[in-house]
Amino acid sequence: MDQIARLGTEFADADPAFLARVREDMLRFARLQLGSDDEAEDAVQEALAGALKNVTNFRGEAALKTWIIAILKNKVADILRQRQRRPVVASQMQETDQEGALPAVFDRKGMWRDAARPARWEDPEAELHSSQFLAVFDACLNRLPPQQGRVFMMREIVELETQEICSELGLSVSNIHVILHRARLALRACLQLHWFHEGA
Amino acid sequence: MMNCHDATFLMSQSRERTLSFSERMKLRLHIGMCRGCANFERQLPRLGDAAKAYASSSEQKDV
Repeated sequence: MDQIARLGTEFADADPAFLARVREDMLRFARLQLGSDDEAEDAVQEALAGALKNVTNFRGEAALKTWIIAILKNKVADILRQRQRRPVVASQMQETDQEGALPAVFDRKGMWRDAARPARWEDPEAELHSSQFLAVFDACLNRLPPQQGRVFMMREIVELETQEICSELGLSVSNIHVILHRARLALRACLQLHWFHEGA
Repeated sequence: MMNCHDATFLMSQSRERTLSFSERMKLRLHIGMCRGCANFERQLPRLGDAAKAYASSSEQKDV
Protein backbone atom coordinates (compact mmCIF):
# COMPACT_ATOMS: atom_id res chain seq x y z
CA MET A 1 0.00 0.00 0.00
CA ASP A 2 2.96 2.39 0.49
CA GLN A 3 3.43 2.17 -3.25
CA ILE A 4 0.04 3.84 -3.58
CA ALA A 5 0.97 6.53 -1.08
CA ARG A 6 4.18 7.18 -2.97
CA LEU A 7 2.33 7.35 -6.26
CA GLY A 8 -0.11 9.75 -4.64
CA THR A 9 2.66 12.17 -3.75
CA GLU A 10 4.38 11.81 -7.11
CA PHE A 11 1.20 12.38 -9.08
CA ALA A 12 0.20 15.36 -7.03
CA ASP A 13 -3.11 15.79 -8.78
CA ALA A 14 -3.98 12.10 -9.10
CA ASP A 15 -6.77 10.83 -6.90
CA PRO A 16 -5.53 8.10 -4.47
CA ALA A 17 -8.77 6.17 -4.97
CA PHE A 18 -8.10 6.20 -8.71
CA LEU A 19 -4.58 4.86 -8.16
CA ALA A 20 -5.82 2.13 -5.84
CA ARG A 21 -8.38 1.14 -8.47
CA VAL A 22 -5.76 1.06 -11.22
CA ARG A 23 -3.57 -1.14 -9.04
CA GLU A 24 -6.47 -3.53 -8.43
CA ASP A 25 -7.15 -3.75 -12.17
CA MET A 26 -3.49 -4.39 -12.86
CA LEU A 27 -3.28 -7.13 -10.25
CA ARG A 28 -6.39 -8.83 -11.57
CA PHE A 29 -5.01 -8.72 -15.10
CA ALA A 30 -1.53 -9.95 -14.08
CA ARG A 31 -2.91 -12.76 -11.87
CA LEU A 32 -5.12 -14.03 -14.65
CA GLN A 33 -2.26 -13.98 -17.13
CA LEU A 34 0.46 -15.37 -14.89
CA GLY A 35 -1.53 -17.70 -12.63
CA SER A 36 0.72 -16.75 -9.72
CA ASP A 37 0.06 -14.12 -7.04
CA ASP A 38 3.75 -13.51 -6.32
CA GLU A 39 4.75 -13.00 -9.91
CA ALA A 40 1.68 -10.81 -10.46
CA GLU A 41 2.63 -8.60 -7.48
CA ASP A 42 6.19 -8.29 -8.79
CA ALA A 43 5.06 -7.43 -12.32
CA VAL A 44 2.67 -4.75 -11.01
CA GLN A 45 5.32 -3.24 -8.70
CA GLU A 46 7.79 -3.05 -11.56
CA ALA A 47 5.24 -1.52 -13.92
CA LEU A 48 4.33 1.12 -11.31
CA ALA A 49 8.00 1.86 -10.64
CA GLY A 50 8.56 2.23 -14.39
CA ALA A 51 5.65 4.64 -14.61
CA LEU A 52 7.03 6.72 -11.71
CA LYS A 53 10.22 7.37 -13.64
CA ASN A 54 8.28 9.04 -16.41
CA VAL A 55 5.82 10.83 -14.23
CA THR A 56 6.24 14.28 -15.70
CA ASN A 57 4.91 13.26 -19.09
CA PHE A 58 1.36 12.68 -17.99
CA ARG A 59 -1.67 14.85 -18.01
CA GLY A 60 -4.82 13.24 -16.82
CA GLU A 61 -5.73 9.90 -15.35
CA ALA A 62 -6.71 8.19 -18.58
CA ALA A 63 -3.31 8.79 -20.17
CA LEU A 64 -1.59 7.68 -16.99
CA LYS A 65 -3.52 4.44 -16.80
CA THR A 66 -2.96 3.69 -20.46
CA TRP A 67 0.74 4.12 -19.90
CA ILE A 68 0.90 1.95 -16.76
CA ILE A 69 -1.11 -0.82 -18.41
CA ALA A 70 1.15 -0.71 -21.48
CA ILE A 71 4.19 -1.20 -19.24
CA LEU A 72 2.43 -4.02 -17.41
CA LYS A 73 1.56 -5.78 -20.67
CA ASN A 74 5.21 -5.73 -21.67
CA LYS A 75 6.27 -7.07 -18.26
CA VAL A 76 3.73 -9.87 -18.45
CA ALA A 77 4.81 -10.76 -21.99
CA ASP A 78 8.47 -10.82 -20.85
CA ILE A 79 7.69 -13.09 -17.92
CA LEU A 80 5.68 -15.44 -20.12
CA ARG A 81 8.45 -15.60 -22.70
CA GLN A 82 11.08 -16.31 -20.02
CA ARG A 83 8.98 -19.13 -18.67
CA GLN A 84 9.05 -20.87 -22.03
CA ARG A 85 12.75 -21.49 -21.55
CA ARG A 86 12.01 -23.35 -18.33
CA PRO A 87 10.57 -26.87 -18.22
CA VAL A 88 6.77 -27.00 -18.01
CA VAL A 89 5.70 -27.45 -14.41
CA ALA A 90 3.51 -30.39 -13.49
CA SER A 91 0.57 -28.25 -12.38
CA GLN A 92 0.27 -26.79 -15.87
CA MET A 93 0.14 -30.22 -17.45
CA GLN A 94 -2.47 -31.63 -15.12
CA GLU A 95 -5.26 -29.35 -16.15
CA THR A 96 -7.31 -31.63 -18.33
CA ASP A 97 -10.54 -29.71 -18.89
CA GLN A 98 -8.63 -27.27 -21.01
CA GLU A 99 -11.06 -25.91 -23.50
CA GLY A 100 -14.21 -25.06 -21.59
CA ALA A 101 -17.66 -25.64 -23.08
CA LEU A 102 -18.82 -24.64 -26.56
CA PRO A 103 -21.48 -21.97 -25.96
CA ALA A 104 -24.96 -23.20 -26.88
CA VAL A 105 -25.36 -21.05 -29.98
CA PHE A 106 -25.64 -23.82 -32.62
CA ASP A 107 -28.28 -26.49 -33.19
CA ARG A 108 -27.45 -30.16 -33.74
CA LYS A 109 -26.64 -29.54 -37.39
CA GLY A 110 -24.17 -26.83 -36.43
CA MET A 111 -26.38 -23.99 -37.70
CA TRP A 112 -27.16 -20.84 -35.66
CA ARG A 113 -30.08 -21.16 -33.27
CA ASP A 114 -32.56 -18.38 -34.01
CA ALA A 115 -31.98 -16.57 -30.71
CA ALA A 116 -28.18 -16.74 -31.09
CA ARG A 117 -27.82 -15.74 -34.74
CA PRO A 118 -25.55 -12.69 -35.03
CA ALA A 119 -27.59 -9.58 -35.75
CA ARG A 120 -26.29 -6.38 -37.26
CA TRP A 121 -24.49 -4.12 -34.79
CA GLU A 122 -25.24 -0.45 -35.25
CA ASP A 123 -22.18 1.77 -35.28
CA PRO A 124 -20.00 -0.37 -33.01
CA GLU A 125 -16.86 1.80 -33.17
CA ALA A 126 -18.46 4.84 -31.63
CA GLU A 127 -19.20 3.10 -28.38
CA LEU A 128 -16.05 1.09 -27.72
CA HIS A 129 -14.63 3.61 -25.29
CA SER A 130 -17.78 4.50 -23.38
CA SER A 131 -17.67 3.44 -19.74
CA GLN A 132 -21.03 1.69 -20.02
CA PHE A 133 -19.81 -0.46 -22.90
CA LEU A 134 -16.60 -1.33 -21.09
CA ALA A 135 -18.53 -2.33 -17.97
CA VAL A 136 -20.60 -4.73 -20.10
CA PHE A 137 -17.44 -6.02 -21.77
CA ASP A 138 -15.86 -6.57 -18.35
CA ALA A 139 -18.89 -8.55 -17.18
CA CYS A 140 -18.93 -10.66 -20.37
CA LEU A 141 -15.19 -11.38 -20.13
CA ASN A 142 -15.53 -12.45 -16.52
CA ARG A 143 -18.36 -14.78 -17.43
CA LEU A 144 -16.15 -16.85 -19.77
CA PRO A 145 -14.75 -20.15 -18.48
CA PRO A 146 -11.39 -19.14 -16.89
CA GLN A 147 -9.15 -20.77 -19.47
CA GLN A 148 -11.10 -19.17 -22.34
CA GLY A 149 -10.83 -15.73 -20.74
CA ARG A 150 -7.15 -16.19 -20.12
CA VAL A 151 -6.28 -17.33 -23.65
CA PHE A 152 -8.47 -14.63 -25.20
CA MET A 153 -6.67 -11.92 -23.20
CA MET A 154 -3.24 -13.40 -23.96
CA ARG A 155 -4.07 -13.28 -27.64
CA GLU A 156 -6.05 -10.05 -28.02
CA ILE A 157 -4.65 -7.85 -25.24
CA VAL A 158 -1.09 -9.08 -24.60
CA GLU A 159 -0.90 -9.98 -28.31
CA LEU A 160 1.12 -13.15 -27.87
CA GLU A 161 1.50 -15.45 -30.88
CA THR A 162 -0.26 -18.81 -30.86
CA GLN A 163 3.05 -20.64 -30.33
CA GLU A 164 3.85 -18.53 -27.29
CA ILE A 165 0.47 -19.27 -25.74
CA CYS A 166 0.96 -22.99 -26.47
CA SER A 167 4.30 -23.14 -24.69
CA GLU A 168 3.04 -21.09 -21.78
CA LEU A 169 -0.01 -23.25 -21.12
CA GLY A 170 1.27 -26.61 -22.39
CA LEU A 171 -1.53 -26.76 -24.99
CA SER A 172 -1.50 -27.74 -28.66
CA VAL A 173 -2.17 -25.31 -31.49
CA SER A 174 -5.54 -26.94 -32.12
CA ASN A 175 -6.46 -26.54 -28.41
CA ILE A 176 -5.75 -22.83 -28.75
CA HIS A 177 -7.85 -22.54 -31.90
CA VAL A 178 -10.77 -24.31 -30.22
CA ILE A 179 -10.48 -22.19 -27.06
CA LEU A 180 -10.34 -18.91 -28.99
CA HIS A 181 -13.31 -19.92 -31.17
CA ARG A 182 -15.42 -20.71 -28.10
CA ALA A 183 -14.31 -17.57 -26.27
CA ARG A 184 -15.19 -15.37 -29.24
CA LEU A 185 -18.57 -17.03 -29.75
CA ALA A 186 -19.44 -16.62 -26.08
CA LEU A 187 -18.18 -13.05 -25.84
CA ARG A 188 -19.98 -12.02 -29.02
CA ALA A 189 -23.23 -13.61 -27.84
CA CYS A 190 -22.95 -11.90 -24.45
CA LEU A 191 -22.28 -8.48 -26.02
CA GLN A 192 -25.19 -8.87 -28.40
CA LEU A 193 -27.52 -9.80 -25.56
CA HIS A 194 -26.43 -7.09 -23.14
CA TRP A 195 -25.34 -4.28 -25.40
CA PHE A 196 -26.22 -4.52 -29.08
CA HIS A 197 -29.74 -5.76 -28.44
CA GLU A 198 -31.50 -3.68 -31.04
CA GLY A 199 -32.42 -5.27 -34.36
CA ALA A 200 -32.04 -8.86 -33.11
CA MET B 1 -21.80 -27.46 -47.55
CA MET B 2 -20.08 -26.09 -44.49
CA ASN B 3 -22.22 -25.38 -41.40
CA CYS B 4 -22.13 -22.25 -39.22
CA HIS B 5 -20.05 -23.91 -36.51
CA ASP B 6 -17.28 -24.76 -38.97
CA ALA B 7 -17.54 -21.41 -40.73
CA THR B 8 -17.13 -19.45 -37.48
CA PHE B 9 -14.26 -21.78 -36.49
CA LEU B 10 -12.40 -20.89 -39.70
CA MET B 11 -13.16 -17.18 -39.27
CA SER B 12 -11.82 -17.32 -35.73
CA GLN B 13 -8.66 -19.12 -36.86
CA SER B 14 -8.08 -16.54 -39.59
CA ARG B 15 -7.03 -14.17 -36.79
CA GLU B 16 -4.22 -16.57 -35.84
CA ARG B 17 -3.18 -18.18 -39.13
CA THR B 18 -3.52 -17.79 -42.90
CA LEU B 19 -6.34 -19.93 -44.25
CA SER B 20 -5.68 -22.22 -47.20
CA PHE B 21 -7.16 -21.46 -50.60
CA SER B 22 -9.80 -24.16 -50.32
CA GLU B 23 -10.75 -23.06 -46.79
CA ARG B 24 -11.25 -19.53 -48.05
CA MET B 25 -13.39 -20.69 -50.97
CA LYS B 26 -15.65 -22.80 -48.75
CA LEU B 27 -15.93 -19.98 -46.26
CA ARG B 28 -16.85 -17.35 -48.89
CA LEU B 29 -19.47 -19.70 -50.32
CA HIS B 30 -21.04 -20.12 -46.88
CA ILE B 31 -20.86 -16.44 -45.92
CA GLY B 32 -22.44 -15.46 -49.24
CA MET B 33 -25.53 -17.38 -48.24
CA CYS B 34 -25.62 -16.88 -44.47
CA ARG B 35 -26.53 -13.51 -42.97
CA GLY B 36 -25.62 -14.62 -39.42
CA CYS B 37 -22.10 -15.63 -40.41
CA ALA B 38 -21.64 -12.46 -42.49
CA ASN B 39 -22.47 -10.44 -39.37
CA PHE B 40 -20.12 -12.62 -37.33
CA GLU B 41 -17.29 -11.90 -39.74
CA ARG B 42 -17.79 -8.13 -39.37
CA GLN B 43 -18.00 -8.36 -35.59
CA LEU B 44 -14.95 -10.56 -35.04
CA PRO B 45 -12.34 -7.78 -35.32
CA ARG B 46 -14.52 -5.57 -33.10
CA LEU B 47 -14.01 -8.08 -30.26
CA GLY B 48 -10.26 -7.54 -30.48
CA ASP B 49 -10.71 -3.76 -30.64
CA ALA B 50 -12.99 -3.89 -27.63
CA ALA B 51 -10.45 -5.97 -25.68
CA LYS B 52 -7.77 -3.37 -26.36
CA ALA B 53 -10.08 -0.50 -25.45
CA TYR B 54 -10.93 -2.39 -22.27
CA ALA B 55 -7.27 -2.86 -21.28
CA SER B 56 -6.42 0.79 -21.80
CA SER B 57 -9.50 2.34 -20.30
CA SER B 58 -9.47 4.37 -17.12
CA GLU B 59 -13.14 3.84 -16.45
CA GLN B 60 -13.71 0.18 -17.00
CA LYS B 61 -15.15 -0.36 -13.57
CA ASP B 62 -17.15 1.74 -11.16
CA VAL B 63 -16.13 0.03 -7.94
